[in-house]
Amino acid sequence: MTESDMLFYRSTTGGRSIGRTAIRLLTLVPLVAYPAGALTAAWGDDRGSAILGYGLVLAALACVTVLMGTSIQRIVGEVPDRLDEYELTLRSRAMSAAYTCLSALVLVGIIYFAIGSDKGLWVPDDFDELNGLFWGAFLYATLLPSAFLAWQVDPADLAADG
Amino acid sequence: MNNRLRVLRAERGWSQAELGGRLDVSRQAVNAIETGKYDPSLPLAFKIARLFGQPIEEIFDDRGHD
Repeated sequence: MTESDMLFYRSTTGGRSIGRTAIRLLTLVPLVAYPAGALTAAWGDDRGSAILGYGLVLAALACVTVLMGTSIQRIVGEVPDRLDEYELTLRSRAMSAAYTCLSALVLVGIIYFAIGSDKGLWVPDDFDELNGLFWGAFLYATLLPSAFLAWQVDPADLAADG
Repeated sequence: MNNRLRVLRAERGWSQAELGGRLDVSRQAVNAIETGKYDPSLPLAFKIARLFGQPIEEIFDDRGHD
């Protein structure tokens, strides 16, 4: 596999090491803040709701930006040829857990859409709402493996030096 | 699985990074093996055994982990 084959290729270095609590917050906050912000912006009908909603979305993106380049993200996004068997094992474990979680979320979402359409519940229907849903799904698909990895191992064990 | 990797490495005065370089794995992998958080693959276990000039069973011990 070459670098150009990697959709989420990020780093060729050992990755930056961040403390355990910080790295876990950096993965957890976006997963909570993005949907909260998107729904607040979609449901609110005043300027305050829009500002709060987009503020939460920006906070989520800021966390993701900091997460890029860390040792955790390197294991998830690096070219497989540049990882050793230990790192590949960690990656495989995180990907497996993330796939299970994402599959469950998608299933719940489909069931909600099916029931919500019939029962008159809110479902995204205009461009902005569907756009928010798309980027939310994208965020979850890319971030869940890092989040599981951050909770499965102590990031200190993955520090480039020590 | 228990192992004597840390002892063997210390006898030679190697750092984890140095041993990782000789085994073509990361320092993190060496640390994970030494602390028992990760069991190496069979090819890597053979590589470790060859590097230290000892049989695998002299380095790794799976007793009590059946």
